[in-house]
Amino acid sequence: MIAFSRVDDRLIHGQVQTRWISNIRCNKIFIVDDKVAADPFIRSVLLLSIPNNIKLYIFTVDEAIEKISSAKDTSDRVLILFKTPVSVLRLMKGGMEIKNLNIGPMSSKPNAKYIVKNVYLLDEEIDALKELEKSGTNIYFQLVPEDRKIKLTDLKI
Amino acid sequence: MIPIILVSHGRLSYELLNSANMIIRNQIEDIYPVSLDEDTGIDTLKEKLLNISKKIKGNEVLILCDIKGGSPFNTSLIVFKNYNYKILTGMNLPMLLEILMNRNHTTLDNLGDIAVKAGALAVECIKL
Repeated sequence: MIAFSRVDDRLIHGQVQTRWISNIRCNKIFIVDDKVAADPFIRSVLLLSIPNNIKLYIFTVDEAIEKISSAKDTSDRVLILFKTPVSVLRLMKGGMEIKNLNIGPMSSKPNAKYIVKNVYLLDEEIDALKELEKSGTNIYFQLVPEDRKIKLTDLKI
Repeated sequence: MIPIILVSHGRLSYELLNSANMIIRNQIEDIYPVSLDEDTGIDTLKEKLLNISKKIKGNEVLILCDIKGGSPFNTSLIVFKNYNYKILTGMNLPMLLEILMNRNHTTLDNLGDIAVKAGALAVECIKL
């Protein structure tokens, strides 16, 4: 089953490593990002970054569509990480629906707008989130499990 | 002497070095504490690590970080990818002390091994 889906441009880091993995009790992580999938060095860093009892897979968006649908009916608990909501939208357009989408930290970058604490998004990323929300995805901002969830629909963006 | 980088979420690295200095004095040459701060982020951390890489003479470095897979860990791997480095995770004071006592007279490989042994050996659950 898909236990949790999150957009986080740092992918695997302290918050995910120490809080979400244990909170969700996942045994597999899928990273879905075309650029990451194509970069052997970043792949090797990410593979080093996970605890020994978790299996990490790195997919392009196209590969992920098939992999996620076959993972849905297994007893595995899968955590899906995206670097950008644009990949989530592409996944949805490819036929793979994500019901609940957590937004974690997104770093500040040129042309990005401040959304909530530790989250900055580009226009195309905001548009992708709005389109996902319209199609029925429940989108909320939450860095760590103890934080209050802030729903996209509660923000004026 | 093998240069040491301490890298952590917040100020742990700085304070760990201060604590070590209470126990072993005058060993703080070629040790660089670095913090990932909540208000700045990864780019600043990367910059700090790049600046340290310029101060390091030679190609060898021993990196200590707090959590395996945390941003201090990941970013160090990225910045020092072309170095002959060892990265130790779960850094603690006994580990750092062992390094400070041994880094003048051993190889990088060996220093990594003895540091991890010392760090792990120091973790116990004790009940009287």
